[in-house]
Amino acid sequence: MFYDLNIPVTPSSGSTPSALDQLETRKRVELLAHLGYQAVAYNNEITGKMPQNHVNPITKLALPGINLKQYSRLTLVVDDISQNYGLNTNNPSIASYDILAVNPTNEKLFQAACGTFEVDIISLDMSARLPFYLKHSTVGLAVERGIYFELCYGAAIRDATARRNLISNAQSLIRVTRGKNIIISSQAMRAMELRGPYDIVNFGTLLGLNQAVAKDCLSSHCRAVAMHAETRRNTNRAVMSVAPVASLAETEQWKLGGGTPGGKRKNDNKGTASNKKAKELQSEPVK
Amino acid sequence: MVRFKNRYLLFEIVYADTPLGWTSIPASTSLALPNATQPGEAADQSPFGDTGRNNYRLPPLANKDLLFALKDSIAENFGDYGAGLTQRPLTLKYFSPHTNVGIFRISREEMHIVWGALTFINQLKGRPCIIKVIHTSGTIKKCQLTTIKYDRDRIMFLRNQAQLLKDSQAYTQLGLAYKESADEVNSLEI
Repeated sequence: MFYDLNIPVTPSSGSTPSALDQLETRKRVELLAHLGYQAVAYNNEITGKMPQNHVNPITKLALPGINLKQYSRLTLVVDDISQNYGLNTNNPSIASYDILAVNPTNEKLFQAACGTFEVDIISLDMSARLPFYLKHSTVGLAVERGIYFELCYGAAIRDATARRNLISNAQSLIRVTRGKNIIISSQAMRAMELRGPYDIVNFGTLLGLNQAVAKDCLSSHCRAVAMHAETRRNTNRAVMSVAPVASLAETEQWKLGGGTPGGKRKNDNKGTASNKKAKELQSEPVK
Repeated sequence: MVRFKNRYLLFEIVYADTPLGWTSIPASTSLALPNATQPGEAADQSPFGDTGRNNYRLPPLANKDLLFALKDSIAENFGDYGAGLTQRPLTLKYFSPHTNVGIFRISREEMHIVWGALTFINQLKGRPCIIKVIHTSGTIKKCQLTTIKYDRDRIMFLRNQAQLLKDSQAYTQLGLAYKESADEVNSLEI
């Protein structure tokens, strides 16, 4: 299963995307499905501090007949170390996005992002020269915490200078991470900047990744990001998640214990060892 | 004596206006055939300039255009060294302008270079496009089989579309196109 975790949908003007923006998004998403991707994240990019009462402008498309998972993603471009960006799940405007990424623009913030920020992706602008040097000690912190680094190929398709920078930056990133914790995504502004997943895997091998790792960068690593985001948002101390009883499907109702009155009587009458065990199992989730 | 080994790349060209198989097609999108434009179709008002939607009447892409586009891309991205390495076995074995599917023969060792160059092609004769590699194999036989299967799915889809639009001319044309392309693929020398 292939993921593209960066389809920019930042509204060109105002706070909600216009009809043209939506048409362009639709084109990109349909093309992604055609190329063989099965999951997509719409990316809204915000520079600086989140405005108060920010509303998530991303609407997930209705795509009948297409099997495509859709996520919403926020990329916060952070540039001031003294500012409190409120990057935690208690912040309702941040909690309204599925995936959270930061784009640190200086070395101090990059260190903070790798070491302490509660995010899923660190996204550096690889199409320009990086303003700082990637160090193994800093990057290692992020790798240890399960945060992924993003490489975007969209700009490289657009122009040759960006391509050069991407290749050079990707090489240094691959060197310091030793090929771990990298995801590749498109950041394609238009449909024609997308590429097929296997084409990108091949591009990854040109960058110096091993073929299997390059494939993971588009599939299992992206899945790990989605899972990391899920854990960050919906769990208590990353151990336990709580869901309302009403969300149980018909076939899972047995987890509530008790069962139907008829079934209960049957159990009581027989009382065999296996039934007792079943009853124990039934009552367990209620505790 | 070890024989020289090749790779065959089966690729597809996707244009901005290519109907995307099984995805939901907006009603205004017409068939990809050069002459099947619906009259009175609204011009594409994309804010990003010409997306190639209005260029139906361009002559179909010739084989040499494709080969030159690839060679240029190799020269641009991998320089003279890359061009030299990949030059000898590089040929376009087959290309169908109906289905936009074709087969390149390339040398096995330099496969990644040629494939990378294909990835970085973003327009053909001024028309924005994506080149997507569908299949790679060591013998042309497997590529032929995959091409025929792919062509069939594609043409069947277009035929169903034509049937829905009650365009009987396009329907029969497509039937012939399928037979032609299958014959053509089969007649490739192995």
